[in-house]
Amino acid sequence: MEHNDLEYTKHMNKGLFSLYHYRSPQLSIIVCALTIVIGLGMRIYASIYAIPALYWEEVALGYDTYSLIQTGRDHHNNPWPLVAIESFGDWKPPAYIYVLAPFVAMWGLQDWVIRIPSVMAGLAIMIGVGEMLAFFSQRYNFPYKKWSRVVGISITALSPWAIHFSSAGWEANLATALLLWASILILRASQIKTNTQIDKQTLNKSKQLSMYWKVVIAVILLLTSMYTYHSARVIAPILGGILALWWLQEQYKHGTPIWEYVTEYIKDNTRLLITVCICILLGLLPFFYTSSQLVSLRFAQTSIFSEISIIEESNYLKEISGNSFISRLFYHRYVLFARQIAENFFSHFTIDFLFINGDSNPRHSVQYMGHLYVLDGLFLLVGIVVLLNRFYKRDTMLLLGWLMLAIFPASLTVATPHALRILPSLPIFLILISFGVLYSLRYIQEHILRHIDGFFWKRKITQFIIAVSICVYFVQPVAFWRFYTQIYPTLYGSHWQYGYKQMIALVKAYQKQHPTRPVYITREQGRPAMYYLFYTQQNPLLTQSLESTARQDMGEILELEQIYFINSLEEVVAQSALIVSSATEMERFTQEKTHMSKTQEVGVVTDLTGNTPVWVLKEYQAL
Amino acid sequence: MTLYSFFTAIARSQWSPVLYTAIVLMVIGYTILSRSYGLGSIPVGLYWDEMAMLVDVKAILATGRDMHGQPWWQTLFVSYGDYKLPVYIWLASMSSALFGVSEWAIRFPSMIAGLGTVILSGLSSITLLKTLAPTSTSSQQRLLFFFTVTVVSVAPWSMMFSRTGFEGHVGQFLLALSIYMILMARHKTWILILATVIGIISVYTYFSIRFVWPVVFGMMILMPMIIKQKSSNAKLAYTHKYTMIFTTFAKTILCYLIFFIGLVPMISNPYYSASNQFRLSTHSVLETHNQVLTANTYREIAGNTVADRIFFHRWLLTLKELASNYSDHLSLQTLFISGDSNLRHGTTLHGLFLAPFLPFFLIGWWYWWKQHKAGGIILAAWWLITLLPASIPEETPHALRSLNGIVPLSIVIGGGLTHAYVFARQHLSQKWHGITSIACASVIVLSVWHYTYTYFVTYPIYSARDWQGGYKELAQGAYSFRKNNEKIVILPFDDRFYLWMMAYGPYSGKEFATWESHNFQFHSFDGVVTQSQDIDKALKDLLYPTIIIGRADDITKTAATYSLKPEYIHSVYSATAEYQVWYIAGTL
Repeated sequence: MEHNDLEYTKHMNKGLFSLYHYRSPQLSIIVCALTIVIGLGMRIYASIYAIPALYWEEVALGYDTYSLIQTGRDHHNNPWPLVAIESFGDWKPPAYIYVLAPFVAMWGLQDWVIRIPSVMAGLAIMIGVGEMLAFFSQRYNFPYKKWSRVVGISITALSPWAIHFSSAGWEANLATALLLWASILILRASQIKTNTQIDKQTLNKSKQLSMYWKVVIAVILLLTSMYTYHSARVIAPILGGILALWWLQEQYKHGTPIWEYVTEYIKDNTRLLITVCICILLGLLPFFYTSSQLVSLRFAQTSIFSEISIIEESNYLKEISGNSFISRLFYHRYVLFARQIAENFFSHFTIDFLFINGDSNPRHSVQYMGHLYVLDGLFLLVGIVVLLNRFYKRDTMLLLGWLMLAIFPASLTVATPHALRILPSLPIFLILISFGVLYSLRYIQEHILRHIDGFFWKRKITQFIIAVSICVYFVQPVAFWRFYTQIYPTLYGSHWQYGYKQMIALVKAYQKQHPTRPVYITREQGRPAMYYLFYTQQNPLLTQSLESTARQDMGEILELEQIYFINSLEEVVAQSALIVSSATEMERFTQEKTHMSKTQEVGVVTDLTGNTPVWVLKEYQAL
Repeated sequence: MTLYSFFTAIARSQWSPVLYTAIVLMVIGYTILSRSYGLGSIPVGLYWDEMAMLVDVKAILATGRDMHGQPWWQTLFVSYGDYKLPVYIWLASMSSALFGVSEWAIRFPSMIAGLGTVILSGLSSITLLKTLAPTSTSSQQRLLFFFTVTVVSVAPWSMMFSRTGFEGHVGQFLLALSIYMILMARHKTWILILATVIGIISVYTYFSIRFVWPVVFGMMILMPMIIKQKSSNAKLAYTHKYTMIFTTFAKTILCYLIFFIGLVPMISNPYYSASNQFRLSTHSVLETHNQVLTANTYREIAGNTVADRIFFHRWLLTLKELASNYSDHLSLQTLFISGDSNLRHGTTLHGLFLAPFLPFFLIGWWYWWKQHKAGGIILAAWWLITLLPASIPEETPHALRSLNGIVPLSIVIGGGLTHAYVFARQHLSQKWHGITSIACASVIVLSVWHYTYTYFVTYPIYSARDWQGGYKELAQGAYSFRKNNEKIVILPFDDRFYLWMMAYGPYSGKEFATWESHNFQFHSFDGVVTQSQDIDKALKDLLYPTIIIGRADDITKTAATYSLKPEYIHSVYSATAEYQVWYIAGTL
């Protein structure tokens, strides 16, 4: 940090500019707690009301958890999956299920229960960003440093990106929380130095132990994140490496020869290093005995390297340029892949994606605004300038390295920009925005209030500017919240498969009256089988027994006792049955079969506007 | 000088005046060569707008009047109904008068504007630096000049539009020239007036400059005041300060007055309102129909409270659309990786600037902001203001409409390269400085090679359709068959193909004004029939022999319908379609 900054900060703390004169430490703690409560409340509310239904992946997570609790096997009959769990033909990291298990065991299969781990992760991210801010404010003697934690927590609590992904069962959110807290523990542990004789003597045992456990837990969290979300398998090891380098740089005493420093460090921290190595070895062990196909299947499905169009483009360009040596070099598919990766990478940094429209997938963004508020853009810019200008190089590298690293895996995939896949970058954006807020306030004091004489007026004007800024900033969360809770569920409920729960309830009621009559449900709107298993809480033993006998498509069971999950109503073979489909499919079917059958409406499930039918249930009778 | 000593000198930063001149000349040489080589044939054909200009130029040179018989000094050329501004047509007429009417001559003014832009960018960068930092060394200035010139010289953005006859490119050159003159005019009012006159000419060159120039002018003229206020000796005497404000205000008013008087001939043109209507008819964010519908839906669902009416107001949604379009132009993807997706505006394999310049773009902003804050503000404002007209239409990113940003962005990147070079020289050993400089230079050279190769070898083939590839050969083929003034029937495939017939037919240009046009388009002239209802009639009343032009499959179908028997067939292959000319002697 520059000398002038330190001088200025001293002046700030002592001088008339200081805000300490009119605030107590308790106040910041109270505001902190209040903000956390508000943030948590928003997440809980959103998880129940704003996101109106469970997406099929959440349903699968829930039912697999239920199955594991009941039988020790997932619904595909795999015992205690560790590296990957089968989900609709895909293999997902299973940690979310294990975190979810106690809640399902306690409260059963409920919609809101499935989202508890994500809401908790959201809370952890909120507190974690605050903690990061507290760490850096202590390290760099930030302006308003006692309030920096509050700023970090508030920015996170109100962030649309953080709120949205904390309100549904996203494994990525849990992985982000784990990565964040692993980093925090490493940063906090680094504050206890051990590499010199003097430090060792002054360190008491409890501090040493504290550092030891912080590092070990951080390593465990990093490893756990690799079992939580696909991209964390790339991010966690590299982030671990960046943190290790940061740690070594932090402990390094200038002037010591590197080799001497490393040997002494190993000598002094043998126990810690051995424990870390054991943890890493144990943590990675399951990967060694798992088929590499299971681990890499998701990447193979989503990566741009599976895109044939790029290879075709390469071939075309080579062909039209005469297939010369230069053309083979310039239009080599690797060159075109590299270009595509760069394009994907930078698509995540556009103003449109971050601040205006967000991800085009309504499940990943509210569609009314970007993932961050427009004013955040200004603070983000200030935050980046502060980071580049005032921070130690290693801290800058750590934060920017993390940001790049979190975005890179998503750049290797199709469908970019992708808000979910780059979620591990969220804490860095929020941290930088918070830096921006704090330094903007300082700028106002330094440059605008400099010309005003008298403590009273400075104080009043500072208070006024802060109050106005907060009010202006708050317009955005208010608008977001209004849209998110009032409009989003209605307009985008279909993207969350709204209607399945209600449809299954009607089917169950019908089955009670006609237990022997078959039921045909079309798959045109998604994966009804999983919803049926979830909402009827089917005995997992029965589902597992069908694994080897029942017809399946992409891991989805197509028949279950008297229930048939069909592609179109044409497949109905029974003389008398309950048929369930979309309104269009039902209309088409009934019109075509008018002379051969008769149908009678059993129920209709409409969307949240109440106008558009989502599911139509009819009793079918062949003539 | 051997190649070895050349590189060693660069590596050791020993830029003697001879070496410096040699390198700058090399860059200028590349600029001239890359802009002039095969100018008339790459891109492979003239686009509608260029072809319409060629036809007008042909008529002007023959008669002093355009294709519709209007005098050459008019302020709006109706052309084919798209109301072109006159400056480019005048320039193309001059070059055609000198070199003869050809594709090359039509694109020549744009090429000169491209060369001018390269030099002008370098000069603007030095002037800006001198203005902001009068104590900057000549070494710094020379480096900044060299790097800025290099950036523009090798920029796909500049090269692409230097080789096509688009008014936008000449317009941006004139706008940049006007801004450069404002920068130069700190102490001389007459230069300021000259800058205004050039501003007026630029407005007569490209439509959107009429919105950009007044704002950029205002911003640039305020700059010296800001700088003087901020400079170290800035505590100007009270009276001096107000005298300066008053003088600047008076100069500004005078220039704006001249500017608006200069626009009178254009505004008083009878086609002015029609031209505005035509230009503003492009789909844009100002068409608020969708926003109104969306706003109403949102409000209805949310309960239509006061808050809802504010949060979901259509103006906010329009603003959001505009911001989204702006974002498209500001994205690093567009600037350095993929560019504009329209093949007439880029190769789509490259950004507007070459990818290796991306880090220097970021460093450049850092450099200008950190070391010359006013410069950072000026360049950012210049860029953002020029983006406004480009961001209003829906079709974004648009390399042509945003072309006015090329000079400020090049100065930013040039600043970044200068800063990085100086930083490396100060912080690295001579050896490492040499290695990094040569490594960076190699990457840039490789990238330039990649682009140049693509542009001259691959691009002409895959972009042929977008440049009306094959039309010229088709028109020439038809007239080569025509011996005794046979009727030529053009089956519908491009309603502006008649322009090619006018351009490549045996016409001097004097005939055009005598032909009948409908909505400023020539559908039937000199035995050539193009309009679809006329074609049906022409085909029914066919008098043999007749020449038919069209897509190969269309002609085959028509021939089958009317039992036509071809005597000769001439085929033209474009990248995506086969066109044919049939000489019909009679029926089967």
